Amino acid sequence: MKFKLEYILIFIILIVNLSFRLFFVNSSEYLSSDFAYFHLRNLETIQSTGKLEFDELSYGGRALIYPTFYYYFLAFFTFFWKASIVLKIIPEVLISLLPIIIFLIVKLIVKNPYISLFCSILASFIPIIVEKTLNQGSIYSITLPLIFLMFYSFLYTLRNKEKVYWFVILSFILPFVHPSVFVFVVSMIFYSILLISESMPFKGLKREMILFSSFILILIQFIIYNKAFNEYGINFISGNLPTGLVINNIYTFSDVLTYIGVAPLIFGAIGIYLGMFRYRKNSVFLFTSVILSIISLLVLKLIDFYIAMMFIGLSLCILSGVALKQFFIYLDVTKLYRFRNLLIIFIISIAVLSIYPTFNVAYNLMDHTISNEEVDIIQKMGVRIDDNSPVLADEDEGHYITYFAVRKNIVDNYYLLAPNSKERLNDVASVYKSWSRALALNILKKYGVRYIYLSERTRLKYNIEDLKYVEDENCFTEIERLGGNKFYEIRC
Amino acid sequence: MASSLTLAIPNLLKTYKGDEGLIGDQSYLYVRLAEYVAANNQFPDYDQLSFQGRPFKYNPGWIFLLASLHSLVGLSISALSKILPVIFGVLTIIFFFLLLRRFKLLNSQITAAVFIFLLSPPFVYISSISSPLVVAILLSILGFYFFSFRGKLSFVLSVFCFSLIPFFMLFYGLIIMVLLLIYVVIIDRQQLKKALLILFLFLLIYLYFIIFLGPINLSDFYANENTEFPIAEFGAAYGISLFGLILSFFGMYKLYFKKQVKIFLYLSLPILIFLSIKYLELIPLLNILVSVLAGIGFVNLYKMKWESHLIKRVTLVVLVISIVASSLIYVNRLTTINPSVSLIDGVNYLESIGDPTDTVFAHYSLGYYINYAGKKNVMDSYFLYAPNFKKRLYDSNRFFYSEDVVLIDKFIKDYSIDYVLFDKDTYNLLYGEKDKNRYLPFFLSNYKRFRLVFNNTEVSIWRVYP
Repeated sequence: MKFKLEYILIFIILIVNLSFRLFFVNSSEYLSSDFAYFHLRNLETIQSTGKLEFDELSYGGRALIYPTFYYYFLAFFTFFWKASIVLKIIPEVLISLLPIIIFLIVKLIVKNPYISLFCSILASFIPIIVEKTLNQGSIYSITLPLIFLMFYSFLYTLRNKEKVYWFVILSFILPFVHPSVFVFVVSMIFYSILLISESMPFKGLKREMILFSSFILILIQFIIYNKAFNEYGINFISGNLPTGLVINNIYTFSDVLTYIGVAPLIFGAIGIYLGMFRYRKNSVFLFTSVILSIISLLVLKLIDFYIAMMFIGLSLCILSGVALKQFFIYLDVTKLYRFRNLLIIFIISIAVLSIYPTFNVAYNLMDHTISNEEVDIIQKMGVRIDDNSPVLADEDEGHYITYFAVRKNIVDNYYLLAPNSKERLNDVASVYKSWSRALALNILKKYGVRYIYLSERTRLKYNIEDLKYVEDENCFTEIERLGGNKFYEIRC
Repeated sequence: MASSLTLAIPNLLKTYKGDEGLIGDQSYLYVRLAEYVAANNQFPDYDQLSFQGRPFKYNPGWIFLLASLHSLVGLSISALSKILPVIFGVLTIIFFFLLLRRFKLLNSQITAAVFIFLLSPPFVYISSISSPLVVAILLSILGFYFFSFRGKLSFVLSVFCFSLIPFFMLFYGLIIMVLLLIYVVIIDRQQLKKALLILFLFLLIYLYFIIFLGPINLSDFYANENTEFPIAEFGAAYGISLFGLILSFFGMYKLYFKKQVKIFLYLSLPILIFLSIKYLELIPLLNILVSVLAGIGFVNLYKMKWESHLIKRVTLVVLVISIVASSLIYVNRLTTINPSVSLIDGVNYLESIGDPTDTVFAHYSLGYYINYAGKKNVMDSYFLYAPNFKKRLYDSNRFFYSEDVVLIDKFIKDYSIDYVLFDKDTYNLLYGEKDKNRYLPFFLSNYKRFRLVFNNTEVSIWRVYP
């Protein structure tokens, strides 16, 4: 059996990408984000009960709506490995498949395997994707590959009409994966508008697939999440992110540069220009629509900035292929043709250099992974707390409390259908920042809190040395301390 | 038969869930007023309870209908409040079907439009609550139906139907007139004289209202405070179906090439959409247009030349499922909207304490329930002809967000407040993202003049002491 070189190379890219991820995953026995423990608890719940309905620990007890497809998929592997191992390995394998999908898309558009390989390398090491998916069991590990597989299937079906059933099957699966697949629907709407406004052909199978996929995605999402839609309306898409998180964070162009990388941004922008205005390529319109839809959702505050950057980053990687192809075509008719190899080396060096920041991101992420000390102190407290009272911890550590201590928290960072999340966030922040003992006690009494967890990361977040009102040792007693992390008991 | 069953489901489901109450706060207003009229065999001059006393200047149609049928049939007004909307709903469906047949639509388009209309959330809503809305819609459809004929009798019937609308919904009459004018000017100019005659009659009716009840100020109609377009699937208790709306775009596309219809739509749709955002009561009217367009859109999609039969079949099935699922989910939600069992418990408690001269302060959306419990409210949602409602609204908001005792004491004294009532919804509406430790809730917990006398999972009532 004879393998084409391009397939061997894409396999190598897959292996390198997976090795890169597994190298970091192996460097810590813990998962690298608080939210990963939300996934882990859910996976264990699915394993034992088969469904997700109510979380007794989060927010002191709350209704839970979260897409379960991902957990059922992972649950299959729990027959062979422990849930914590499954959550460390399988998502890394899934997200490592993303460069292959990007390769296929670019190959379909530019019909040049080497440019496609280059784009897939770019896609493998987009900093924001690494930051948000590495060692976190992130649901985006399955969502991103599936959404881009859907785009691939769309473009592929336009060329091979008899393969339409793949697109139909994917359209049914996708809405079960994650609400962010709404991006696909919005992108398709923008795509249709762009095609019509540019007098491009918008008929036949293309129009049918857009109609069908939009209807099916909206319907299934509406049925699955109707409770959340009723509660939050269209804002459900943003996951009920607290107003402060959505509005207060102001992102700059340098953030975009840091999260996406220089190479995809430059090549992608050129690709948009060439594809849209000079060569009027259908596929460029499609991925430009993805970028436009994401920007619109960002403006309307319906999508998290980081998720937006992931989609934009990947779309730009695909569009980079268009820029490179046109560049080499142009090069062939100029005198610079002599330096073609030199230019190829130069472009590859840019790609390789663009990987470097990703290593920084990965190391930084692993540095911020929960430490043994933190886990020890939280577990100790879990054993020590003998009643049903909740533990007050920062929102970004709420899932640590529920997982390691198996105790109720006041707040965590899964806000959808969380009871009074905004009020609770303000209250927790007040306990950490306030000078007033009376105010803090009032809040603690309101939730029946007996223990406060003050970790080093919380101190950094709120820029505090300690709680400001704990001089009164009869009232606030430090009962556990490990490194910079401590627990206070409220005794008054 | 099928339509009557469909429309009866929300109330049946609510009863099945063990909740005997009516759906929607308006139902409680009309039940109270009809019971009063039935007991006294006449319309009173003055309502002692609403706005702590106001002239009896309500739309009389629905109250009269409930009270007179109660006297004739002997059924309780609460039972009639559940049955009548369904009967009027079924009649609306029948005449909607007949009206569409007058407009030379294809049978398939008519069937699709009627099906979408029957399952549309706004129509299910108006057929489930005790309110004059369903009659106003029926009369509007009947009016247009008879108007579409050329004979004298049908014209007389059309005049009769149109002229009844203001007695049920004052505001509707105005809008129907505008739509009728747009229709005759653009589509059926031969009927212009007749339309002008109806318009003249309407002017006389409104003149009557102005002379006997007082001037009508548009801003006095209950206005929606939210500026979002209400879509049922996005949580609006009273909104257009998302799938109907999407399909209606395909309908509009189909009609794009019919010049007159296009102009009619371009004029009437923006007016209705804009007004519906402000006045939610107009949603059922907009829903009629959306349903017709959606029906045309659905058939257009069906007849469109599809390249893939697989996609065509699945898409159409998905669309039908969407419309049915959307309606089913809405019906289920309708049984859980206010008043909840907890709120009814609170209302029953109010009914059992104090005396009818007591005033209960709450957000105006709870006003009808307070009156139903036999107590006076400071405000309710019936703003038209309400005494000083703007001042009361301003004072109420100052009270809700008061930060000092002096202001609180003054308000209690000015309005002779005896009880303060909060339910979960109004509490979240007023203080959702605000610091509760600063405003009225803080004083309710800490000021000695307030004492909590009733509390359940959703409702809290405080007694105010002198």
